[in-house]
Amino acid sequence: MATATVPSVARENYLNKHYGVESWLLTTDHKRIALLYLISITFFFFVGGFFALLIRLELLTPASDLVQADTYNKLFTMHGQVMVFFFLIPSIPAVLGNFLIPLMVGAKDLAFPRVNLLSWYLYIIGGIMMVHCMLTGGVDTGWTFYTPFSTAFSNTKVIEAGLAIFVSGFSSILTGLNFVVTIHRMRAPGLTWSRLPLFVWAHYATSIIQILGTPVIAITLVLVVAERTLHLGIFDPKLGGDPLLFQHLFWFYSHPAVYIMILPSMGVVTEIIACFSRKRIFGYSFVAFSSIAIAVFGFLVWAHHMFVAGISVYAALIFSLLSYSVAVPSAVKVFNWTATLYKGSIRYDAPMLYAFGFLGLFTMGGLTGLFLAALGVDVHVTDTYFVIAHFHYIMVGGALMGYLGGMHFWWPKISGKLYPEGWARLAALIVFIGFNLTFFPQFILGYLGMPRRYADYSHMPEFQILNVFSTAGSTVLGVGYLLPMIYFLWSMRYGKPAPDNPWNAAGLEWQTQSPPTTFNFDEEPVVTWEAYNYEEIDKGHKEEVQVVG
Amino acid sequence: MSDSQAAVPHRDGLHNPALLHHFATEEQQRDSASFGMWIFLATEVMFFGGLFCAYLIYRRWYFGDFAAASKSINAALGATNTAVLIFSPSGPHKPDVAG
Repeated sequence: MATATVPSVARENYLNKHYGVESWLLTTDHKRIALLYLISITFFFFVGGFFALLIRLELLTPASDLVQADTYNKLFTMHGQVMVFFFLIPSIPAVLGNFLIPLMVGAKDLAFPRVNLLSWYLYIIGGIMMVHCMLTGGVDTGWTFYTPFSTAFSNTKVIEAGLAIFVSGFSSILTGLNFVVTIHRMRAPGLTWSRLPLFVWAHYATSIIQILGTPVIAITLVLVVAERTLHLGIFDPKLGGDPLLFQHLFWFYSHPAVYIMILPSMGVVTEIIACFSRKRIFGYSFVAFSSIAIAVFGFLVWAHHMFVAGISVYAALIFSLLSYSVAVPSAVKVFNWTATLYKGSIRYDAPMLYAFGFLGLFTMGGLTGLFLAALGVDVHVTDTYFVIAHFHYIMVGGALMGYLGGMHFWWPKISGKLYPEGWARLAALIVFIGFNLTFFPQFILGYLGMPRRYADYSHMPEFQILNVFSTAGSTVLGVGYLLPMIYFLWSMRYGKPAPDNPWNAAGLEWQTQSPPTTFNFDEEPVVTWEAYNYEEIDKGHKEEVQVVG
Repeated sequence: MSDSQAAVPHRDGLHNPALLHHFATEEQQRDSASFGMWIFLATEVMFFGGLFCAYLIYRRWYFGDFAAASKSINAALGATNTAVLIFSPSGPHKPDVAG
């Protein structure tokens, strides 16, 4: 247990050990690489957010008056590609996972530190290609690259965008590979699988998807590029190809990719809920194996994106049934989190507010996913704003809330500084309100029949009022996202020094100093306790009360 | 590097110099390296799996064309190439700790 909680400014840690650009760009320290990722994905988050605001501004009025339809097509395409491939997929794994997994398993680093650095460079190369592609004209295929439009008709930069995502995909594969080997081989003595934090379990499941799914999107994009440049007839029916084959290959990765985003977020929320209700997580092994179950089932449901694309009715029936089955492990998690809260000593600090936000929004996103898994309802709402609202509830309301909650929870460990708690609670509230104001009207719009990807809805002017709500909400949401960036940066200079364990949390990462030293632990830790032993911690620490914020 | 205990993780000073700082034992390092390689091979299987999937579908759809195209293949060159690929992993290995 952490004994000395009075931090001295001069203590050596991974941040002040070396200085200079080279010590960052050539580092193999997982914690520094995590910070490199943090800066990079924050950049792409605001790029993607900028496109989102332009989309919302265009939809403020029914006519297409802010941008032309062609520009609008590019805006939603770039918004999707940047947010999915350059923000959400690397978000929690590459930043928090990278930083925390070695700490949580009691290791000095990931198994392959240089591969870890390589993965950041691949991400940056892909990112530069993407930025170049955006600055020189962009893409208009939608983030899905559907053929034959992307291979035979679009005269935008499909090849460059495809290759950018191809390259950054290998970054994701290498991160997953590193995590799996680290979790299998680098655990501290005594840290059995059943004592691992559930954050680690969630990342293990995520890594399986990254390893087995990402190569498939990589080869699919190669085939798109090959068809576009060499006119190989793979997906274009005019050349004897099959456009449905593209959709199968694309969604074989891109559906599980949603679980790459949401599983790590579930891991974060599990840690936060256990800590702030001061209880062992209810049904540890159910929560652990439900992560694995989601990863496995996630690979078997891809064709629910293709119910109206002309697949056989029997295939559609089976994929519908399998899609329902993903709800079971997801619901197991939600019920277990709720049961953990029951009779807990709940504290409403900022990370917990984000975790509560996650619970509500993810549940709504998940339940509306069941609407879409139902064949009949799906036919009605396919390609409408209902789908947009549904997946934003999962990917923004779920994944992003978890990411922000995690950033707050571990910020004292990462930076060695405390963030301003009052501002953080306010930001959590603004994000929650702004999010619902933005996306809830879209459920109604979609149900009423507003199609996605239209710049102009002047044939249906009655949709305007809900779109105005949505646009207003997106500006509130934008403020909610700017606030944490501002006060995190502020706290790095002016924040109070963080004690080693400000939340009095379980987990090995809290037993080393804040911020940790380069090799994480002064002594190799030996684990003799179960995960989330909050009852024991609180018994032993009654006299050592800490005030935070 | 000498001012922190953690900076000298292998304090006995007797270990194999090929043992990297973040591994506790040579066995752990060797196991990690080979396990990582197996996972990498799995990603390769999935990468080319997409391609083979497309190939198999089109081979079935356009069987006649595939049969006709196969006549233009030089069997001797193809066999040599295949043999080289199959036997190339059995070349000499570097028996170091990184496996």
